[in-house]
Amino acid sequence: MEVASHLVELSTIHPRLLWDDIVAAAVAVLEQNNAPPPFRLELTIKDLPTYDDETLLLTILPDGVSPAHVTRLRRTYETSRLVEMAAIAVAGLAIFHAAHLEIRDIALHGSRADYLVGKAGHLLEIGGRSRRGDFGTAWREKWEHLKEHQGGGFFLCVVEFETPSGRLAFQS
Amino acid sequence: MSTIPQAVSDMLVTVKSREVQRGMVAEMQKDQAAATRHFLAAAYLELVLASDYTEAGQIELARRSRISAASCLWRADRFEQARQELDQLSREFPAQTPAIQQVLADLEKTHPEGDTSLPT
Repeated sequence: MEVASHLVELSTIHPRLLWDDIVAAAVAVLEQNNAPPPFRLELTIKDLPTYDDETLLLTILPDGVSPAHVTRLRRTYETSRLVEMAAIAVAGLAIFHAAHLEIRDIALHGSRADYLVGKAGHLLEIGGRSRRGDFGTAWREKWEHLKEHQGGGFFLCVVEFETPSGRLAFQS
Repeated sequence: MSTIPQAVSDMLVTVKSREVQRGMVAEMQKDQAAATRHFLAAAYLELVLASDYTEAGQIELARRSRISAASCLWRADRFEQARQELDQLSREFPAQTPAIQQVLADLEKTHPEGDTSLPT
C-alpha cells in the first residue's frame, strides 16, 4: 500500500505528544540523501493484525516545516540524535497508517521501549540508523531484547536512512 | 460535598507526557536546569495521576505513574526522593520488587548519582 502523508500531521494523529523537533529532524535527515521532496520510504510490515499488505510505501511531504527550524536542529544535535528522532517520525506515521493506533504516552524508563501505543498500552521501541549495513544488527538486538524482557505485546520499528527503508513488526 | 471520584484527566496525562518529552529534549541539549524543571513538573503530575488512578480503582496505572514519578524525580537530581518512592512501592507491591529494582538499576546506570554530565 502506498500512502502520502504530511509530517506535520503527526501532531494531529498523535496529539498527546510534542512533534515539532521530531518533524524537523525527519526533514533534516531525509534531505541528506539529496532526494527532493516528497521523500519515499518503504517499510516491511510483519504480523500486524490490522494490515494485510507486506509493505507500506510512505510518501512523506515536508510542507509546513520551517527550513529555519531544520537548520537550527542540524546545528543543535549530533547526526545520531537526528537519525533517532527521524525514525520516531517515520514510526509515528507507520503506526497510524498500518496499525491504526495512536501513540499515547512515553514508556517507563527502563522498559526497553520508547512509547506506549493504543488503549492496550503496547510497547513501541524505535530505532534509527544512518547506514543500511547497520539495520540487521539493530533489528536483531532490539527484537531479542524486547522478547526477553517483555511479557506483553510490543511493536518494533527500525528505520535506516541510507536507502531509506525500514521494518515495523508486532509481537503479540 | 460529593465524594464521587472524578475521571482521570486526559489533559493531565497529555501535559505530563509532554513535560517528560521536554525533559528528554533538555537532556539531549545538555541543559540540566531545563531538564530538572521539566522532569520535576512531570514527576508531580505523575503523583497527581497516581492518586487519581487509585481513586478510580486503576491500581496498575497508579503503580505505573508512581514508578514514572520516581524516574522523573531521579532525572531531576532528586535522588533521595526517588529512592523513597521506589522503596515505598516495593513495600506495597512486593511481587513487583524485581521490576522496581530493575528501574532503579537502569537509572543508576544511565543517570549516575553525582554525575553532573547528562546522558549522551
